[in-house]
This record gives sequence, C-alpha cells and structure tokens, in this order.
Amino acid sequence: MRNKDIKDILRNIKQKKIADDSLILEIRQNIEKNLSDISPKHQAKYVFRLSFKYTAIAVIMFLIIGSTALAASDIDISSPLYPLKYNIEEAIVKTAPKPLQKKITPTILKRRLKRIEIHIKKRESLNPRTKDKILKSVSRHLERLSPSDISHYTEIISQYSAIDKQKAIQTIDRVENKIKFQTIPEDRKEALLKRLKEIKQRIRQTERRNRFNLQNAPNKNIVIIKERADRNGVEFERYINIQTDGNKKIDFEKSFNNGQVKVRSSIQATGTSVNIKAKQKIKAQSKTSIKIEK
Amino acid sequence: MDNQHTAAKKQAFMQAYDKYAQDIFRFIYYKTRQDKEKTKDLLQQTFLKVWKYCTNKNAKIKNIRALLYKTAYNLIIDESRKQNHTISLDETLPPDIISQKGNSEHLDKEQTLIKILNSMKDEYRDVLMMRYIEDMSIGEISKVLGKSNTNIYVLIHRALKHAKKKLEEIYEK
Repeated sequence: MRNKDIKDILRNIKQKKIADDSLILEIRQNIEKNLSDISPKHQAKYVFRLSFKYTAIAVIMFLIIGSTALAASDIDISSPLYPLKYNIEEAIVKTAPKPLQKKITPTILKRRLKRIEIHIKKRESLNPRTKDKILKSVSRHLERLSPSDISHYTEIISQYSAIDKQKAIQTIDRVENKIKFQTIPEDRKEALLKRLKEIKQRIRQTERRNRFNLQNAPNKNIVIIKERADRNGVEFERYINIQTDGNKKIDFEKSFNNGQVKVRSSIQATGTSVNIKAKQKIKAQSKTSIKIEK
Repeated sequence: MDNQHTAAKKQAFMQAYDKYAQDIFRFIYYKTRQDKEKTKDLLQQTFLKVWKYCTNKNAKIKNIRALLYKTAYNLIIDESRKQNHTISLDETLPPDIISQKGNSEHLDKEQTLIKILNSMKDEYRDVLMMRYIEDMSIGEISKVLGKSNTNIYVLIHRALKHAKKKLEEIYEK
C-alpha cells in the first residue's frame, strides 16, 4: 500500500455527507435565534449591570474594613493635617531615588583595588582580554559613582593607568564631565576636578616614561648592561638599545632612587659590522663604544 | 446606523455558516468519535462563540475558517475534560482484534481507516483529518494546533507511516 492510497481513502471520506441538510438547517435556526441575544448592546448592558453590582459591594466592603482599621489605629482623621501628611508621605515614597544597582562598600573597593594591584604587578602575564576586563569593570563603576566615592577611585585610576594610559585618561574625562554637571558644593567640585587633573598629569608622565620601558620596547635586541654607576651617592643603571643592523643605539640611565628615567643621548654605533644575537652580553666601555661578550 | 451595521455583520456571519457548517460538523464528528448529539451541541457552541468574538470592537479576523476550526478544537478539548471518558467497547479494541473477530470482510477500507484513526495518537489523527479530510493548508493546521509548519509536515509524515503500517498488518491477516 502506498501513501497515495491512504490519502485517496481519506479524501473519499470527505465526499460522504455526515450531516443531513435538515440537521444543518436546524442548527442554523438555533444559532440565528441566539445571535440577537449576543448583540454588543445587550452585552454592554449586562456588563454595566454586573460591574455596578460588584462596585457597590466593593465600596461597602471597603468602608467597613477601612473604618475598622482606622478605629484600631491612632490616626486622627479629624485633624486638618491628616490628608496633607498623607500626601507628603506618598510623594516622598514616589520620588525617592532608586538605590544603586550595586552598592560599593569600602570592603568591596579594597578587594577590587588589591586585585588590580596584583594584576599590575604581574603586568607581563596580563593578556589583552584581562586588561580589557579590568578596564571595563573600573570604568563601569566610575559611571555609577557618587561624587563622594570618586576620591577612592582616583587611586584605582592612577594604578590602572600603568596598564592602559589612553583608556584611563578617557575614563577620567568622562568622570570630569559627570562631575561638572552634578549639583554638589562648588568647593567640593573644584577639589575633585583638581584631583582628577593631577591624576591625568601623572598618567601622561607614566606614558612618556614607559616609552623607554624595557618591557614595552618593541625591539627585542635590548640588552641590559649590568653596570651600576655611582655618581654623587646616587645609583644608576645603564641601558643600551642596539638594533640588529647596528646603526643606532640609545643610551639612557635610570636612577634607583625615584624611578625617573632620562634619555641622555642618542648616538651612532661605532660601525655597521656590529651584529648582535639574542642573549649575547654587551659591555659598555664608554658612551660611544661597546664590547660584545660571547 | 448601528443596527444596520449589526444586521450586515449577521448576514455575513450566516454566510460563513452555510459555507463551513458541513466541514466543521464532520471535524467535530470524527473528533468526538462519531457522537452525533454531542457534535450538534458543539457545532452550535462553536458558531455562537465565534459570533461573540465578532461583536467585540477590537476583534480582527484574518481567516474565519481557521478561527472556526480552532474554536471547535478548543471546545472539544473543554468538553472532553468536563466529562468522564466513556468509550464504547468496540472503539477500545484495536483494529487487528476487530479483524480477528471476522468483521473485516464487512468493513470496507474507509471504515477500517476510520477505526485506525480512532486508535491513533491524538495529534496524528488531528493532522491527517485536517489535511486530507478537511483539506486545510499547513499554515491553517499549524494555527489550530499551535505548532510550527515544519512540525506539522513531520507529524503528517509519521501519521501516514503509522496508518500504512496498521493497514498492511490488517490486510496481511
């Protein structure tokens, strides 16, 4: 047997009349009779009557329950202040500011700071995704902050500026704008803006400094020369950056006292024949000449 | 003005009745396992319910046929919930047992298929009836049963397969 045969049988069933015309007509007359009963007008009347009845019952019930409740409480309805008081309370409830989505307590803040600190310390192992994650979380909370909390967060910004300077500055700009349009005391506003400006400056300095940071340098042929100079009681570490073609080198020093880095000079290498392989030790003999150790 | 509008609406509705009453009757008749009295009541209820919906000002009807079937389908479900399930003994017997009783000679193919339909899963029976007896489109069936078009295609395929298997079993015996 094929599917088609079954379909044919089913279609044959359709051809057979189950209901007589008289039966259908009988039902038709019944329906016609009932249709006029369910006209929209009739329905409206019915609903009105019904709703009126239930409203009356509801009002009576409300009055009974309300009077019992008021009798039990101490509210003095006769007092002229009663409706006013009620309205004020209601207004307060309605206009009360919505609570923050997540309240940032000092504990949470400390925990977050600590986590960021750890990340900053392990900067080498930070991948771009983690970096983004930290940035996002910090900036998200900054958006939500009240002015009083911003001072706490300035610390975070300054710390995380070591990771991504540009974004840190962007975030601070956003916070600055936010503060400018907030209704807080002028002196407080000024203090906050000043603080943010300071942080921005600090971040920019770090940015400049990091340009010469060994870990951020794109050229992998940088070799640290283990030479420590002592000039007037201040220790220095000397770095030499030599490119593979041996044409350029930058010599700069880093003092151990305050971590400031100064570019001292940018000089030409002694000759084009200097080819340096990775991990070869270089010893500076003077400012202008170097010695490669095998 | 309002009366005229209602009268026109009523006339249109009665035209719809003339057009679809037979089909809906058959649909209910097979769904209620061939109970004529119940079918009569349900047909009347179906049309009255749809009329009630039509009188609503916000009512928007795109496909009156599908609406009638859907209403009938829901009323049948309501009815089956209300009543205790009482089925005649013959209906409870699977078709192969009927054939063992020696009635198969008297039953023609259509009756056998109707028996098979009655013994089938509800959703299989519904889709076969709607598709081949009521000549409904897949879209209309999906609206009535509240399932996706793809699901209806699959159900029809399975129902046909099931019916075919049962019929073959009977004729082999």
